[in-house]
Amino acid sequence: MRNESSSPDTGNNRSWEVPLSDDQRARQGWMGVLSMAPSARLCDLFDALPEKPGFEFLRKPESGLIMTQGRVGGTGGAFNMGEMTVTRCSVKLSDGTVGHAYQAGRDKKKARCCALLDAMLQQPERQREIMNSIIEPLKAEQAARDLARAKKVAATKVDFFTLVRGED
Amino acid sequence: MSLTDLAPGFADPVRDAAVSFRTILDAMARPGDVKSLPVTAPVPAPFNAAAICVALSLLDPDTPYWLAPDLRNDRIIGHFSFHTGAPFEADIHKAQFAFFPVADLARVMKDLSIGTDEYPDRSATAIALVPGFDSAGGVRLAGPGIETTCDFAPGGMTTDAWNALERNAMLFPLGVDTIFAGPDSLAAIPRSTRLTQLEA
Repeated sequence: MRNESSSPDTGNNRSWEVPLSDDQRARQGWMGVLSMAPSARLCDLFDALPEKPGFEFLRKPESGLIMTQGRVGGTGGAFNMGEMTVTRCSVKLSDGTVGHAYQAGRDKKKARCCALLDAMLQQPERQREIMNSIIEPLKAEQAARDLARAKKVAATKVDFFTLVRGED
Repeated sequence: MSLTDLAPGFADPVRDAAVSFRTILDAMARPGDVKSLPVTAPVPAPFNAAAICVALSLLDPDTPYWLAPDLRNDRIIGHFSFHTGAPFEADIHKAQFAFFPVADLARVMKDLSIGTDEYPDRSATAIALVPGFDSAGGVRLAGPGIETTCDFAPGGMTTDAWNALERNAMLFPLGVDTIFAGPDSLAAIPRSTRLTQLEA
């Protein structure tokens, strides 16, 4: 398959090989936490923020489908796994900072909150405050939820072993 | 470009693009008839309002577009890429849409794709940015969509430019369809329209 070598999926520009700057890594971190956060809890924390900046929508919250891709093994070609619903939103704060959000599901309010938080977290003067009041608590709650689920699953763990293999 | 340069597109993307598409369709169906824009969107320099409406309504990820050097900047390319996903094409021969100031029309027309005999629809669409539609001289149009004749005089057109459009009409069924995009209105001359130049 000669075409494969020119395809972006199998070339050398794999996204996970692109070196990220510290800022990008930090942003990746908070976007990940925001995308996993339960909507109601996130909106409560957002509403509790003391001051909110003025903003305009670059892209109002809109729902659509994206095709998720999978890959067989480390070297296999990408295949289309299935579609999922995604809501996206982009905002621009009054000082020009742009925030984006892509969220699973159809929750437009959550997409708007996430885009605003993404923009505010890029402002150096508010980053620490919002990390402490929103991102860190959400991260801790997620870790607790994951641990609780891991414990529940671990309680039902079964060890299998084979007595006779029946090969003789 | 920096992201802070991004501007919003249509206020209501689905409805505004449909209304604007309908206007472009009407303009193509009635050559030379100047249609005022039903909606507007923020206009990054050096584009004009009608050209932005055309771009936001017609471009998508499958339509490579070309920009004349005078219109080409990171802000415009970023704007189109964010709102439409359309790829910028540096080679004018491969572009499906070409945006240029009307002064470039004669030069640009000969490089645009005119389609093939099997697929005349694979031709490019030219979008010429004009200052207005009330200039002296101009052309008398006739052909499909025009009951008798129609006089049409967009600003900035030269004899060379009209000659280029006359040559384009002779290529029918191949050839380029042209949209004239003004500050608050647009008109079109599809390849099927016959032109006669008037004295200024």
